[in-house]
Formats: sequence, structure tokens, C-alpha cells
Amino acid sequence: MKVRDSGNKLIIFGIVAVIVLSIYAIRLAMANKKPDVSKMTDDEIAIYLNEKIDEMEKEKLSELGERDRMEHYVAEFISSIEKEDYESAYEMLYGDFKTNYFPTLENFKEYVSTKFPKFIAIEHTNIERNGDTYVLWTNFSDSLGSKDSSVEMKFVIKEYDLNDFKMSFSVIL
Amino acid sequence: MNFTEFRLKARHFFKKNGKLLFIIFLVWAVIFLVNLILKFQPKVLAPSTTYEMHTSVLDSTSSVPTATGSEIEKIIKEYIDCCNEGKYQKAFSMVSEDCRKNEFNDNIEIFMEYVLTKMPTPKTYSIQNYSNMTLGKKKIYIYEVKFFDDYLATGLTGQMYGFTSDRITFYQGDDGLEMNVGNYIYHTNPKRISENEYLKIDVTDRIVNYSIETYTVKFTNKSKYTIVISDNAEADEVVLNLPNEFRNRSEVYSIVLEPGETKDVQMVFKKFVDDGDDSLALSFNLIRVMEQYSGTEDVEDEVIQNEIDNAISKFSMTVDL
Repeated sequence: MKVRDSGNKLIIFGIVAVIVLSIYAIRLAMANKKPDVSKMTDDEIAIYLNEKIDEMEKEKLSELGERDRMEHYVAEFISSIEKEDYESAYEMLYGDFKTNYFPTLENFKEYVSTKFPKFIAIEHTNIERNGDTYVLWTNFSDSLGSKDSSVEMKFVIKEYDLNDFKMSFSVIL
Repeated sequence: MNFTEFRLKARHFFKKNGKLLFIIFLVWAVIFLVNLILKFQPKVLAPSTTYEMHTSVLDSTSSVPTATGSEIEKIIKEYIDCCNEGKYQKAFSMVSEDCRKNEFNDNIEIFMEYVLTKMPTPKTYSIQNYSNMTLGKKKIYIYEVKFFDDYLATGLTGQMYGFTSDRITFYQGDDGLEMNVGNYIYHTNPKRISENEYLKIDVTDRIVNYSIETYTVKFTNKSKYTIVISDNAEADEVVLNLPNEFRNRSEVYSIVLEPGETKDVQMVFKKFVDDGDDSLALSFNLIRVMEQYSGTEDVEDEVIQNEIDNAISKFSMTVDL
């Protein structure tokens, strides 16, 4: 009689477990369901695409080692400057660094237009990590100019999460 | 077997094993659903890093327990904030009593001097568990703390990359975690004695810092002759014995006792606390009881040798630690 009771209890427990797990699995599947782009507005599509691009970027970065990630962030900064997207480049800078050297976006634009070449060639020579802060040594030159135009520039980067970072660089005074 | 017989047998089989089959189905269903849930779990993406704050650099299999690690982070932050803000009294009170006494002689001015050599201006810092060791029943966590300027705020503009560092040690005391700074690890009173008719050697104190050990040794000359413990006339006159090697003092100086004299001498040996070797003994390998002693400075080698040859007694003594 006791064996039969415990068998029944096991079955009831099993049924409850299956029901609970099924509900959880259905909710997860619903959450993972790809949205129907055809029913979205243009703004919603733009947001969705940006989220997707960001997700893909993060996936790509998650496969990279520390040095490659830091070089990627520097490349992102340089690329923004080359594209004259100064606002994005300015956004990447660390708050106190901005306060110290470029209190306004205009200051930054002015500096970049006078000190940075139009086409930038960058060579990373060394990297050091100090806690969660990275220092990258680079040689920075005009890709259309002579090699003699190269100057050493240091980038300091703090990574908070994938593609979430702030940086500063040695200002050419 | 006709169809009716097969039907009856199947019915009988299900009637007999129905419950078991249902249980097997339930188990399969649970496994299937768990797999499905795992498949649907959102991927957690995190940056890969070699920075493991609470994992030992010397032994990657050794880590500080999570709760202890978090507490250590808080203590270090509070301590460095105090130093940066010039609240030396509070910072000094955060240091263990043992460290205050043996490393800083209970003197806040010595402590302030130490802080200013590491942090002459306000600094940011990074923490890394360097090694962990056990002393008796006590677990000791040794951290390397690097102090540097806020490079993020300057971008290293017009600056060289550099930092100062310290080994900061933590262990469980009676009232929670205790902190040692200034590379200080621990202190013992060995009270080990070796004695013969001429000389008594008493190792009274041992201070262990991260990379050196300092012994205070009390020598008592019981004879009416001059006793030379060390005068650099021979090699390896005073050594620290380790299991597979011995170490000479990091600074070699003469130890000469006048008749009846008692003298406290400090001896420093280079030894990393986490090198896995125990300090076994102090050996005094060439003690000379001299009838005539002229020293070694500006004295001809011939005279020195002649005095050694005519020594009343030459012997070695070892004090186990």
C-alpha cells in the first residue's frame, strides 16, 4: 500500500513538474520569437535594426581577446573622426578627460581638425592592463604622408561591458 | 498469434506496466523541457578578460572566498580614500595592531612617510590577489595594490606610464578581517636559544615582510675574550637555512663582542614569504674566540690570518627556528 502511495505521489509530482516547465518553456519561446518586421513602422524597424546591429557587434566582440577589443575601440574612435562624426567620437571620451581638455564639442572639433590628419594610419605597439584600465601605445600618422610624420600617441581605455567603454588619449599640446 | 490475442496481450502489458511507462514518459518530458529551456535561455555575453581580482597570480587554482573578497575590496577602498584625503589617523587605525607596532613602531609619522612614498598625490588604484598562504590555522591573503595617477582623466598627456605598489595582507582576526600594509606580513617571537661556554645566542624576534625576513638576535659574550661572529673575513659567516639552500644577510656588517658584552643585532635576509620554503635555522658558521683581535679594516691579511690561527676556539652554532 505504501509503495503504491509513493508511486502515485511521484506521478503527481512529475505531472506538476511537466506543467510548470512547459509554461516556462512557452514563455521563453514567446520572448525569443522574432518580431514581424512587416507590421512595424519605419521608426520601429530602425530601432530593431540598431538593437540587432548592437547585438551582433557584442557577439563579435565577445569572441575577441582583450588586446583585439581595445584596438577595436580605438579603431571605432578613429573611424568616427575620419567620418567627421565628431559627436560620436566625443561621446566615447571619459568625462573628466573632456572636462580637462575639451570642455565643449567645439573645442574637440577644433583640436581634431588641426592635429589629426584627414586619413589616419595607426599602428599599435604595446598594451598594458592595470586593473580594469588598459593603456595602448600607438604610432599615429597620416596614411597619405611620409612615415616620418608618425607620432606616438597613448590611449587609455576603461571597458565597462562589451561595446560599453570610455577612453582618453595623450593630447598633443 | 492472431490480432485478438495480440490486442489482449498488449492490453495486459499496459495494464500491468502502465504506471511505469507513464513515469518513464514523465522523466523524458522533463528532460526534453529542460533542454528546450536551456536552448531558449538568452546568451549572456561578457568581455573576456585575464583580470581575476581575487584569484592568486602565483597559483591560479587558489582564490579568495567571494564574501571575503568583497569585504577586502571595501576595506582597501576606504583605506585608500582616507590616504588620498589626508585622513592618516583613520587610515592608521584601519591597520592591524600587530602591523602598527612592528612595521611603524606605533608612530603615525612613520606611517605618513610610508603613505607619502606610495601616494605623494591622490591616486587611483587597482587590486590583484597575489598569493594566499596558511600560517598555523590562519589563512593569509596577500594582495598587490598598484597606485597610479588617474590616467583616464589625463590620457597620459605629458606623463610617463608608471605606478607604485604595495603588498597589502588580510587575515581573519577576532573582530573580523585585519589588514597589514607596507609589505608587512606577520611577526613571531621565536625565543630560540643556543649556548656554550663562551657564547649565548638568543633569537628574540622575527618580522616577516613580503620579500625580507628580519631577525633580532641577542648575543651574550660569556667569556673574557673578544668574540667575532662576523667580520667579513670568511664567506657565509651568518646564513639563514632553507630546505635546499641558504641565504646570506642582505647587508653584511661586522658583529664583534667585547668580553662580557651583550648586544642586540638585527639581521635581514631576502626571502619571499610565498616561495614555499620554510626558514629552518640561523647558522653562525665561523665564530672565533680571539685572544688578540685587531679588526679587518686597514689590517694586513697576514695579521688577520695569524690572529685567526691563534684563536682560542673556533666553532659554529645553529639556532633552529
